[in-house]
Amino acid sequence: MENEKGEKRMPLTRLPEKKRARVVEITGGSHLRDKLMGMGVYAGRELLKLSCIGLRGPVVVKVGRSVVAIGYGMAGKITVEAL
Amino acid sequence: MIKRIYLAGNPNVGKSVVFSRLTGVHVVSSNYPGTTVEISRGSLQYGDKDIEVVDLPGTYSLEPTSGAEETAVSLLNELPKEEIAVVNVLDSTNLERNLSLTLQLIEKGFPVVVCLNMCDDAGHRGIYIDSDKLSSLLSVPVISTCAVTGAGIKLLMSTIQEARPVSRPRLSHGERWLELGKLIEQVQSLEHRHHTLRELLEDASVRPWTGLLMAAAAVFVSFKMVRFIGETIITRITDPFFMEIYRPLLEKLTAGMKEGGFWFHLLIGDLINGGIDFKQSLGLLTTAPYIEIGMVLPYVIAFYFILSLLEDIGYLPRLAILLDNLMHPLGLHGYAVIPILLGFGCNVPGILSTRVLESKRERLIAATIISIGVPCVPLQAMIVGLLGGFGGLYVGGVYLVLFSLVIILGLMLNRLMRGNSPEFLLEIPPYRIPPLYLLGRKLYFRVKGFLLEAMPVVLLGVLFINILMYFKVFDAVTGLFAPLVVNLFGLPKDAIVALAVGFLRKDVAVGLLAPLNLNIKQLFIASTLLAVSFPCVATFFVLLKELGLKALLKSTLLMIGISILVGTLLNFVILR
Repeated sequence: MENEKGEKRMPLTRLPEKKRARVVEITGGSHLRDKLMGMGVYAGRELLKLSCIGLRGPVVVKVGRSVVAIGYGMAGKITVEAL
Repeated sequence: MIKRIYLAGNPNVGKSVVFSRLTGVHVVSSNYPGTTVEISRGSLQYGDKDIEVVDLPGTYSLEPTSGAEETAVSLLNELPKEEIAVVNVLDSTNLERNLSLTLQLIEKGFPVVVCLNMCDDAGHRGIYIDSDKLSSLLSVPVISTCAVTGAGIKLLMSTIQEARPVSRPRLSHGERWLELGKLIEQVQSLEHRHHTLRELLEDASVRPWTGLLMAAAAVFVSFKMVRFIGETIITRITDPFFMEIYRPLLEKLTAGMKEGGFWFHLLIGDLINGGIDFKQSLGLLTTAPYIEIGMVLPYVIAFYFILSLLEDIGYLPRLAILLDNLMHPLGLHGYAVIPILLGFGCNVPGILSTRVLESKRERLIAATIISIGVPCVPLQAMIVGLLGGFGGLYVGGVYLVLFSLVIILGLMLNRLMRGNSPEFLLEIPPYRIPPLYLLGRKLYFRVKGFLLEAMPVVLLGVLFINILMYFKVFDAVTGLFAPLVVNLFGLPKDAIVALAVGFLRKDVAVGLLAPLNLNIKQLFIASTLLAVSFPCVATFFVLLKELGLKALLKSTLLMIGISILVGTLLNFVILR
């Protein structure tokens, strides 16, 4: 899934570890969007994926100076663009 | 005039420590989001009058997305804005995210004082904030503090009165984050630092393999430390005291009393082999204090020391991430690890802290699991004291039964109850080295809380039992339940008293088993039954408060059913 600029779009769960990406879209309810927004995860924001715990465990990302653990299902609703 | 001061801020920025500093009221703080489950109120002397101070639960936004945030917002709107001041506590090491709430507070017209907390930690991490510039950009007072050491608190106190509402255009979320980006560039400067050992450890603990290794090591070391500290206190302090000082004293004092008389029975109990046996005599001055102080208290101290250390370092949320995927089949997510761990100390705070979980369904599952399958320190200490002599295998066996129960119960409740478990979303705090005095204070308050809660119940319980035993009231009751206990569980009739006392306090109940001369199989069954059957009276009330009567009745029925099943299975199938 490459767009015209050669950037790759994918769900956060598929982003490789230690890679930077920009959030493109958060699907799911506005409740989820608000929650993530409060923690600094919103469309347009850059983040660094630190790790993901196997067996559908949480994805750990760094946004700004905070480290946030996002459940696997929720992370699947966040589309990112690898930088 | 200001009538009330609110402390508002993101979760885990040290609001509770600022609260303690302002009011002198002690509240428990820990290095993970959501420690404040009960709203603390205190007061601050201001000139000649007292102003109420309210510590709000942590919130990321004024548009509430969780129960805790709803509570915070509705409390903020209780009084007219002219009568309040909001101290907005910020974590200086994470200014951008914290300022989002600040802007919202200002936009909504609250009179705000910004408190840049943890400024020492920011310095260590190479973050410098120009607080004067921030103050002029926001047009509200900004004070740098380090609540843990108390720096800046005096200045903060005297500045609160200067809080005034300022007008700022209301922004959408997107606009606000853009605005924040600009603000940060002007007030914050970063000095590049090489990765420190702390940061390497922070990273390693959230990666799968290194994380699991660290978790295994942490759990193993904690367990060993609790045993080591507990045993050391017993062999070096409490046992010598009871055996060499207290017993001779008691024997002198009661030299004139007649053995078998009412008072002797009440205070000393029965003499075993002609002397006082603290474990078996069952008197108000013998077994009662010995159980609580000689057997349970050392482990309470040891457990809370280790737990407080793990809490304040900030390790628990990392454990929660690693265990998240294993908790989902039980209908819980990783964060439920924290209430469950607290439950190992005492079920009451464990169940209270299930408030950090979002849905009622999760809270019910977690509370049920805690009250049935998680043994508290007093119970564990007594089980170890009773079964430990027969070898570690039996003690391990009780834990295995309880662990299996937790798994089965969780799987069952997750299937039976409607709804699905919400997802895990948690900010992971940085590691912090807790100052020793804060750790010491927390330990002191937890141990004091234990003694204040446990001692009266234990003394009254033993008194009550001794009176009933003296007048042989129990015989009628035991007759009633005898068929169940004798035939199904293979226990003697007298064990019924112990099982019934389990409702009052589990440790006393296990203590009552000691004089019955049970064999190891009976001891094993009785201890397990005490662990799984109905909760002690304190837990019972907290369940009632948290879950409501209907859910409480349901889980009580569940517990009785499970006890009968487990007792019978152990007796006829497993330990045959």
